[in-house]
Formats: sequence, structure tokens, C-alpha cells
Amino acid sequence: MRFILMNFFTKMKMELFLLCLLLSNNSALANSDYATKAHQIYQFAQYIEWHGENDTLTFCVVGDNPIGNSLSQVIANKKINGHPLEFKQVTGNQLGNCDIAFISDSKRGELGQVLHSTHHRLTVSDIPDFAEKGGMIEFTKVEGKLRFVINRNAAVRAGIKISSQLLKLAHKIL
Amino acid sequence: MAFFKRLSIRYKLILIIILISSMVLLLSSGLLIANELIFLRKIMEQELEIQTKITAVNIASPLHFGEGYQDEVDKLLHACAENQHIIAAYAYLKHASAPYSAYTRTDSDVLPTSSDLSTFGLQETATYLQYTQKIFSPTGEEIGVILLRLELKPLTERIHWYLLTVFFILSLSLILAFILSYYFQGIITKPILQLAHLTRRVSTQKNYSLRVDSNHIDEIGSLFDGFNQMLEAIQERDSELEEHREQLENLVAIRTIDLKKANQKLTYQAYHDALTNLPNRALFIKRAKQAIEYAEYNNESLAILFIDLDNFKFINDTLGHAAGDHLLQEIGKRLLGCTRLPSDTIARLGGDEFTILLRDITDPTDAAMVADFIIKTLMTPLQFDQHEFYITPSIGISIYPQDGLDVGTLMKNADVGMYLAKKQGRNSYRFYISSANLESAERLNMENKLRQALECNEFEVWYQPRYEIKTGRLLGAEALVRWRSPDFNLVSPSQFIPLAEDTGLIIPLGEWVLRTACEESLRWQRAGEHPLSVSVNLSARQFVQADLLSTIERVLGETGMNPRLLELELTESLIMPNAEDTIETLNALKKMGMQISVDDFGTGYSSLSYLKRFPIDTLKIDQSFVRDMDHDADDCALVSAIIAMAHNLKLEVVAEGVEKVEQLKFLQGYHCDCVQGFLFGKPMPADEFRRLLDKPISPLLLV
Repeated sequence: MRFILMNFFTKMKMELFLLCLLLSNNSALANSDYATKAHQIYQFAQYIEWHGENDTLTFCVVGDNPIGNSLSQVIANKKINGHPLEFKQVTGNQLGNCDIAFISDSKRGELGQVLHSTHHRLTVSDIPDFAEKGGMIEFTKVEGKLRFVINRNAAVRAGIKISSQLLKLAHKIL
Repeated sequence: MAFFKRLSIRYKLILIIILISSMVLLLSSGLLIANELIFLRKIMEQELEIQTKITAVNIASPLHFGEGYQDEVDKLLHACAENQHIIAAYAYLKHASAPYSAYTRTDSDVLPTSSDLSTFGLQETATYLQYTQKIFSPTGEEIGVILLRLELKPLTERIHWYLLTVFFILSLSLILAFILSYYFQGIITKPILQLAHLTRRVSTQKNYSLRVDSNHIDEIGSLFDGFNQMLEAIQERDSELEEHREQLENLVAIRTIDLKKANQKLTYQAYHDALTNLPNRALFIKRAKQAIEYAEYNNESLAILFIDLDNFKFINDTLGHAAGDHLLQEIGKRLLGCTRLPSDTIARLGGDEFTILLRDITDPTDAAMVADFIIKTLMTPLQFDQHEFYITPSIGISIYPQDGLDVGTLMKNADVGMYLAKKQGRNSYRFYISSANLESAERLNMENKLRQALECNEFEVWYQPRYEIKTGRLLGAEALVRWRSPDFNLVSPSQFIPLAEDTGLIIPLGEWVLRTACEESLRWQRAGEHPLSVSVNLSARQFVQADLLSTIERVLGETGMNPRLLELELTESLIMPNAEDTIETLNALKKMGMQISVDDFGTGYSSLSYLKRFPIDTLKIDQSFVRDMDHDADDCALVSAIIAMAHNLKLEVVAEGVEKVEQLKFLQGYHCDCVQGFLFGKPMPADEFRRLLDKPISPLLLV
């Protein structure tokens, strides 16, 4: 009975959420989406086996920064397995010392150049077919829910070791 | 326990086997089951732990990624259902009170409490095991809690199954054990039963040669061997005993024969007189009893003769027992020749007493003839040591049935008859007269005492002085017999003299008194003085005795007594009945020179006319007249008349029983010659009388 009620509440929550979506404007919806993505990027980082001890892990946004403050807020004052975290905005196509790079939609056309050197770097993007185009983790929408696709080969080539736990959650693995 | 004791060995064995096998089975299966259950439980615990831990790892990332991955969490929890015994799985976010995701097999599962969630590791309730595990993020951050529950149903099911199995196996094995032990207990019980059966046979048949077939080599075999050895030992002992028994039996048989002979001898001795070989009293009584029974049945008569030898005692005393015994044997032989029938019995009762049983007599005269014949047979003198002896019998006869119906009475009456014969004057027989029966019993006792008294010299002769009135001189004395019995002290003559007369004892007693008085009176005589006479009473028995004269003559001769100083006192009643015979005897006595006096004159039926014809010297006036003279005029007249009459007949008169001076005065007045009485002197012992001789004159008469 309690579970039924629970489910009911959850459903209610969902419906309320959807109603909110309908009622709110598009940017609000996009903001909420990017906050989730920022959080998930931080979580992705936790499932990667990083090399070097206590080296700072640099979270980069490549291109426009729709995710902007969300990501920096998420990682602020946090560590992953002893690695301190920092945020960096990258405008060019060079990933430089980035460890985790979110490639924004604005770089859709220059994706080839951005993904040119991804050695020991995790690449994440919500650009459609990002994974097929050589990206490692691609945000995608499945039945309205945020999911991700992993290109495991790309990660292996880049020397990024992705935890099986994360692989299990992936919507699709290429 | 009591029930167990009552069981036969067979069932005891079965019971023990079943008990042991079931115990072993129970114990082993119990251990097995316990081990199995513990193992199963451990497996279940491990299973639960692993399941929980795997699920925890698996749901860590979806939980970590948050809401968007709740489906994934649900899916993973539901995957636990693949283990059909997981009944519930709960996933909680850290610090959440409601489950983030849950899976329950049934709706009845109870939500975990906060303590369930905070207690990590394994917990247990009655129906399920529960494992709680923290969920960590990849970075090791605790992000939630997972809780799985595993039902214990398989365990309880397994327990039930095991119990059922054990029960089944146990029942099966018990049945099997029963069947097997039932068949195999025979290995133990069969030989035991065999042994028991043999033991019973041995004890009932007493056959110790039986053996038990022993083909066992185990303990039972040794038991059988032992039993056989025991039987052998018993058999040996038995045969030994049998031998001993036979020996003993032979011995007993020999002894029995000896005993029989000895017994016959003893019986003979018990029933026969050793001296004469005649039947004794016991056998006589036995035969008499049989004879009486026979006579009673056949209406016959029989007689019992009681024979007593008259002067046997004298022979025995004077010639010794050897002579007596010889004479008794001779008499026994002679008596044997006196009976008519072989069935008649002659017995010696003891001493000089014999009895004869005469059977089937037709008339009492038959018995009289036998008695007569006995007297005649004994008349021939008996020879011993070149002496001749004359033995005379006194025989009493009693006849069955008139004199008694039993042996005791008949013998007693024959005895009474014998006494009558003796009383009558020996060497004679008398039939029993029943009137004698009464007095005889009391008399017998006194008579025996009298006999003893005579043998033991218990008699004494006392003397009462007699004085002449005219001169006052002591004339002499009257000898009076006294019996100093140890039983009765001094017995009055009036008590024993009649008995002595009845029994005939008066004859030896009288002779003894006569002899004693004569001897004593010889001591009184003094030279130059007037001789003193002694007067002795003569009883009727003595007087009629045929040998009276010869006896007196013998005594006089033996003592040297002067017959003139001897006065014989006769009672009035004695001389009167057979007047003619009496005169003859009295004349003979007078001729011998003795004085005759009539004692107690006046008490009997005096016939004064006879007095004249009797050669009497003195009349003694009975003391009963003298006693009453001082106050009875009649007695005075009588006494004076007697004195006058006596004087007319030239008789001297003696007054007896003078006790008073007055009486003396009267007597002096009537010219009585002599006096005797307490006034002058009581009867006194001889030595006392002798002292009286120093004063031969009575002072009373010195006028």
C-alpha cells in the first residue's frame, strides 16, 4: 500500500514536473537540463580511473558555456579520489590540460579538431551523434529522459578507463 | 524395569538390539541432520550476504546518478527475485526514512525499521534472515543502504523433510532390527533353552547320565562342557551314594535281624520270670485279658488261682536266697504238672506268689479240684542240700464272670480269697466271697504294715502289775503287746489285734509275745522270794491252731520257763463256741502245768454252767464293771455276785481297771483276790517293771 502510494506520489511529481515544463519557458527548461548535465559530468569523472596522484582534475567547457556556472558550482570545493578539482573555460579547439572536457553545441562544426587530441582526456557532449563521431560520452534523450551513450573504443584509444558501473548505466555503448 | 525383568531372554535380546540400533540411528541421524542444517544455514547466510553485496555494488551507480536511474535501481532489486527465497529487497538513500526502491514478494512484508537500517550485517528473525549493507559511491562516499531478506522456509522445509526421512528410516530399521534379531536371538537362546530343557529332564527323571550335545566353541560351549562335567560329578557321586546305600541297607538288614533276635529275647524276658521261666505278671495279665475276651465271646467261665506259699519267708530268711530260689524253681515245675489244659497259664508274680489261669471251666469245682491237686502235689517234701522242706500253699480262687469281669478285679478277688484261706488256717484254698471285698482294701494297708512291724521288731511287750489284796504283795504281771510304729507312734492294741487275728499274723505275733514274756519273767525271779507269774493273752486264732500245744511246749522248752508261773488268758467268747474242742485243749494245757484265766469276764454270753466244766483257775472281771462300781449299784451287785460265784467254783478273781481308792474299798469289801489297774500301775515297759520289783508291797494295801 505504501509502495502504491509512493508510486502514486512519484507519478504525481512527474506530472507536476511535466506541467511545470509546459508552463515554463524554454530557457528555464534548458537551465534545469544543464544543471543535471553538470552534475552528471561530475559523476562521470568519478567512474574514471585517473592517473597520477593528487593531480588536479580540470573540468573544461569547450565552446559556449551553456552549462557555465552549474558545473563550476557542482565541483566547487570537491575532490575525486583525492584529486582536487578546478574549472576552466576553453574557447579554442585545443583541449590543452583539460581532463574532462564538455564540448558545447557551438563546437558542432569543429568537432573533428576538438577531438583531435584526446589522450587521457574524457570527452562529453550533448551534440547529437557525438559518440559516433569519436566522442566518448554523449548526452541523449530517451523517452524524455536524460541518458548517455558511450563510445568505449574512443575511450580505450584515449587511454581512459571507464568503470563498468558507468558502462552499465549507458543507454548505448558503441 | 519390572516388566523387563519378566521378559524372556529372547525378548530381552530383541528389545536390547532394537533399543541400541534405534539409539545409534537416532544419534547418527540427529548429528547428520544437525550438521546438514547448520551447513544449509551457513550457505543461506552466505548466499544472502553475497546477494546483498552484489546488489549493493550494482545499484550503487544508478543510485548515485539519482532519479533518472530509479528504473535501473528497481530493475536491479527485482533481479533479486531470481533467488526465489529472497522475499524482500529495500534500497534507501542516505538518511532517507522511506525506501528509494523496494521489492517485496508478498504484500505482507513489513518495512524495515530504523534499527534494521542502522544495524549492518546479518540479522535473524523467526521467519527470515536479513542482511543490511551500506551503498558506496565510486569515490567511497556512503550514498545509501540496501537490505535483503531471505526466508527461512527452505530450512524448516528441510527440517521437516529430514524428520520425515528419519522417521521412515527409523521405522524401517526397527522393523528390520526386530526381524533380524528375532531370527538371530536363537543363536543365544536356543542353546540356553536346550540346556534348560536338559536340566529339567535331569531333575525330573533323576537321570544323571544325560548329556547335552555340545558343538559350540564359544562361552555357551564352555557352559555346556561345564554342565556336562557337573553332571558327570553328580553321576559319580550318585553311584557312590548308591553303593553306600546298598552297604548301609545290608548292614541295616543284618542289624535288623540281630535286633529282632534281641527283641524276641527281650520280649521273652519281659514276659517271663527269670528264675522259674514261668510267665510273669505282665504276660499273665495279657493272657488273662485274651482269655476273658474269648470267654465272654464264647460264654465260657474261667478261674484265676492265687497261690501264696505259707512259710516260704521263713525258709528264705533262715537258709538263704539260694535255697529259696531253688525251692521256687522246684515249686514252679510241680505247679506246671497241676494244670489240665495247655492253654492254662501258670505265672510267678514275684516272691512266693504264683497265679494260675484256668480256661474253659464248666464249674467252680474244676478250679477247686486243681487247687486240691496243688496242695497234694506240694505235700511231698522239697529237697535241698540234703534237707527236706514242707511248703504249704494258701490258694484263693476267683471265677469269671461272677467274681469280676476284668483281670484286675479277678486277681484282686483271688488275692482276697487267698487271705481267707490263710485266715482259715493255711494249706487250704478258698473261693472269693464278695463281702470280704470291702474291708479287705483298707485292711490290706494295715496288714502290710503289720507284716513289716513283725519283721522289723516294732512290737514291744509291756507289763501291768497285779497285786494280792489280802497281803498287798506283787503277784506278777499281765504281758500286753504294744506296737511302736514309725508311722503311728504307739498303736493301741484294739486297733491292730483284730486285724492281726483276721490275717493270721496273730499266730507269729502271739508266739513272739509268749516267748518274750517267758524270757522276761525269768529275770524277775529272786532266790528266797515268792515267785512272780506272768499272764499272756491267747487269741482265738492261736487257740484253734493245730500246733498250739507243740508251739507252747517248744517255747517253754527253749526259754526254760516254769509252766506253773505262766498263765494263759482266754476270752470268754473264744472258749464258748466250740466248747468240746476247747475243753480238750484246755485240759492238755493244764496237764502241762499252766494256769488258765478267763479274760474280760461278763462281756460275752457267759454260760456259767460251762465254767464249771472248764479247767479254769482265774476269772478276770472286765474293767467296764469295776469302773462304774463307785456310782452304779447294779454293777456293784454284779461284781459281788461274780466274786461270790467264782469263790464257790474255787476260782480266783482278779479285778481289772481299778483306778480309784473307792473301787478298791468295794473290792476289799467283796473279798476280791487280786487287783490290776492304773491305781496300782499302768502297763509299763519291761525295764520300768523291773524297778518295781524292789518294792514288792503296794502301800495302798497296807492296812
